[in-house]
Amino acid sequence: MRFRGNEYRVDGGHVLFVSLIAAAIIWYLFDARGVSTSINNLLLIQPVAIFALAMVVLIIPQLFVRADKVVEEKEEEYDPLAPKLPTDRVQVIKMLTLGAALGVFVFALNVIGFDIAIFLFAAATMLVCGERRPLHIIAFSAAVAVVAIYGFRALMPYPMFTAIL
Amino acid sequence: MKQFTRREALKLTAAGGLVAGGSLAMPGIVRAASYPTRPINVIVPFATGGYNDRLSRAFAPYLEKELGQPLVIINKPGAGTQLGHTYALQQPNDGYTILCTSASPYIPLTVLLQQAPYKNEDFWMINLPSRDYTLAATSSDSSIKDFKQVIDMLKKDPSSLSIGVQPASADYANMVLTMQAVGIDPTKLRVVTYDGGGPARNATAGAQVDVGFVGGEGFIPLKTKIKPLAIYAAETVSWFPEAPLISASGIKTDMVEGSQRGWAVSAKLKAEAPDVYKTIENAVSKASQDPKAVEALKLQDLATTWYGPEASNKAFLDNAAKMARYVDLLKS
Amino acid sequence: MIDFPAFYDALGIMATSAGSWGWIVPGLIVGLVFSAVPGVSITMAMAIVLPMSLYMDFFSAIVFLTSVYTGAGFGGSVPAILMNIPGSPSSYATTFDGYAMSKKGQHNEALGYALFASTICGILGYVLLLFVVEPLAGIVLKIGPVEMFAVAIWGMLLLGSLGSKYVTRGLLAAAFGVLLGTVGMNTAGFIRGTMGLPVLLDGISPIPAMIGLLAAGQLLTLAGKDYILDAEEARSVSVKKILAGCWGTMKYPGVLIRGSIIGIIIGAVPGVGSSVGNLIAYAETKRTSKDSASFGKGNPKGVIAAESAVASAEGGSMATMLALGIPGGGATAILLAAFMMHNIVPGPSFIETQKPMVYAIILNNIVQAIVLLVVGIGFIYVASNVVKVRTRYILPAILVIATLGTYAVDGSPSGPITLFIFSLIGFALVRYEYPVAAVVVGILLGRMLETEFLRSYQLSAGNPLYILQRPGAMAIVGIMLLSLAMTAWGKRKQAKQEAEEEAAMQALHREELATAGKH
Repeated sequence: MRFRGNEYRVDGGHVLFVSLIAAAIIWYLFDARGVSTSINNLLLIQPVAIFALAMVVLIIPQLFVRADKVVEEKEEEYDPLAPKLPTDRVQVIKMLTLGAALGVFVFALNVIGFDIAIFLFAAATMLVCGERRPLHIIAFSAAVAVVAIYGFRALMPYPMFTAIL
Repeated sequence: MKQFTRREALKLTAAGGLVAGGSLAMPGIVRAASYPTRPINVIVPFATGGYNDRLSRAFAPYLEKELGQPLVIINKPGAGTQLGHTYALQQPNDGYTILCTSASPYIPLTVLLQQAPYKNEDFWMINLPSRDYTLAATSSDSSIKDFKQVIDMLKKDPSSLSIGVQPASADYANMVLTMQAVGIDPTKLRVVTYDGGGPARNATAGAQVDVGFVGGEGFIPLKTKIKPLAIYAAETVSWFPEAPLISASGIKTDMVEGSQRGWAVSAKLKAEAPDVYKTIENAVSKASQDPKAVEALKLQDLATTWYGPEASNKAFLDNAAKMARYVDLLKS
Repeated sequence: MIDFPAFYDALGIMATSAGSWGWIVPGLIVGLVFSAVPGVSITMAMAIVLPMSLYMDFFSAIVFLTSVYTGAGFGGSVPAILMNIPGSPSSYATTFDGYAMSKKGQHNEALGYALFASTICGILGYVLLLFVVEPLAGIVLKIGPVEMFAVAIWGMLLLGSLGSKYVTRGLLAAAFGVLLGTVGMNTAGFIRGTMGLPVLLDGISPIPAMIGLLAAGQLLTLAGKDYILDAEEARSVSVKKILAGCWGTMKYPGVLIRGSIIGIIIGAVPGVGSSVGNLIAYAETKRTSKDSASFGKGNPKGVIAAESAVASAEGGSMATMLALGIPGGGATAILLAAFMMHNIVPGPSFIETQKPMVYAIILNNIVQAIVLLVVGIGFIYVASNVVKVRTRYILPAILVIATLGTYAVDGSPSGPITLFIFSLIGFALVRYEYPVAAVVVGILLGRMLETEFLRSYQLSAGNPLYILQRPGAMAIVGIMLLSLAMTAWGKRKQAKQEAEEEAAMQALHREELATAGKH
């Protein structure tokens, strides 16, 4: 796409993200309006939702990035308010795998039991982090599972579904 | 492993005592005799520290003595008790789950307003010793003298006083019923909504609102900071005798009871394992009338009065029916 | 003011019940350990030990529970500083500079700063409480929705100082966060955005959501690293450095006092708690600082400001509980229950008839804060060792603990699932350069904003001039505006000064070049 003599391209992921946020806000606004249009219901959320949608409109131009923009690879000082994701391919894959493992883990807790789920998740995390010695993985994951289960049993009043422990 | 035949099993159990042997002939009675064999869970659908939590913990030692097994208090707060009540009903009906809850108004409220996945009849009340009533009150340094004055002012101008109340509560229903009885349009009132009794009481005591309609019992620690105007009870309330009854103000209005709190189980338990149920009922009955329990709970302003299942269920269902009748008032 | 005969009686109670002093150290340790587990809040820690305290005599039970409270007030800052996971919402602002200091290898000092700020302001809060316990209670009840709304707005002002590359993205993130914070049943009884899920009726659980949002940008990226800290020489644990941090706290009395005042007042207001106090204290300190640009990059003042507000809020919250019988937050609600379980009902009559006991409780809390100093250094020393462990061991353990911590919030899988969903959102936010902090602050304050705004509207019947009847609200708004104006003025002066310095530097540089050219 050309505009004022510069080549632009669309950042597809960003478009998707902004669309999802906008969709969520619109859905929330309509859901709330569906409950009641009374001021007691909409006083804050309607103006905030409209404000948010206005921001989405203002962000639209930012979805186009200069195709010839050089990605600056500068080692910046760490700023916790603007964390950076790793750009190195291997690191990105590691992070995404870990995220996926976390997703499987939280949904597996009540299906295969907390103990087994913790063991498998801990083992998977160790693998992702670069541990390759099977004995270490098994021993440490088992230890994490045992300590976590017994520790949290003592800590909280709620029951946990477990297969073995 | 060796397989036991039925005959051998019978012999074995006969030797070991009547307990399991009888189970072939009369399952109910024997299960009751062997119940309970492990700790019993008490589900409290509120966070730690509330009335029901304190009641369950204070009463537990006496109930434990009668049942012969320890009680484990499990707090399951959330969604206006819906999460805790749903959780309790999901447990097996084996007598190892007891509820200590504010049956009224929360069970009918969650049913009527939140489409909770249960009915009032799914619960069976063992005993509801604690009753709380809506109290109309004002700050102690307020110029308002009595309830009649409130009504007169509101009749002249419905927005002259601000009213603090929890929406979708028995207090709200009582407030609206009163206004309707005296011919004030409730939609014209200056109503300030609070998402709990505590904040509504603080607002009343601090004169944030002119008049608060909220459960009276919670006001006890703040007694000196408020002036009671009218309590929605049929007769003088033992823990707040100085609060004038609503009838004393000359207003004839229907009313719903604020809270009915105490002990319950799932109705299925009573139907499916009547003897296990009977054991629990007897234990609650005995513990409630244990002089030591009565004394200990009285010191903490907790109720132990034994009304029994019939009276408790009747009170609960009557009040629930009344709330269903006024469901439109509950929806703000 | 202090009632001296009662004060001497209180000293008598302290002396005669020396046996109960033994509960201080165990209480502190329980509080520290529980609250250092991400997801386990102060409230939960106290709820867990409450049944235990039933078997003690009254004073021992109160000493034990308040010790847990004191310990838990500091414990949350340990994971916040070392791993950027706030143990609870009240230590969120601690992560800003605390974790940044860790990244620079100054985790020892950061923890020292946090600990000392926490203890000094804890003591300060209680000493003040000794004097004003009664009048404060009267003021607290007068704080109404308009004042609270002003406080919530003040908390939101933090966003202005977070500074984002794209203003529009920051504002969208904040608005999105506020909307997320309003999901569920509002104060007027309307149910929105729950998708029919009962767990959402009370809103999105803030602790799992917060941990999820922050985990994506921080925890999961650790997978590609061998240790939490990159630099090998930074991975040290040193008592000397911890003590240096402790000592360094004394250099900022202004920050400590401002943080304490904000903390006490906000802690005393029922239902607000320290989760707003630390945000306001941080934002105010940053805004009024000369070196505000270095905040968020490891400025110790950021850590001190946040921690001072958290620790002093404890005293404020206790004042409300003792004097009115009203819990300021979840933790004091449990303390209140403990009082009642020992047949004592706090409130106006309690404070009149049992003044020596009230003083004894306050004095004991001051003692606890001093003991925390010692216990805390030991705890920091042990906890800091996580920086020495390889991520392949520490990461699975932390992720499992954090996930179970969110399960412990209400014992249902909704906690871990919230954690996961918000880690996805957090991932996208970081990827497309939206400030995660804005979403977190929105979630933490959204509900309070709506509730108080709505009540203000209802009270005033929509008339904005109502604020003229509320001197308190006007004062809060006034201080807020004054602070903003002074900041703007200070910024201008600073910019001018910087420009001058820059010019001078350039002149110097030119001179140097000129002299170099001659040779």
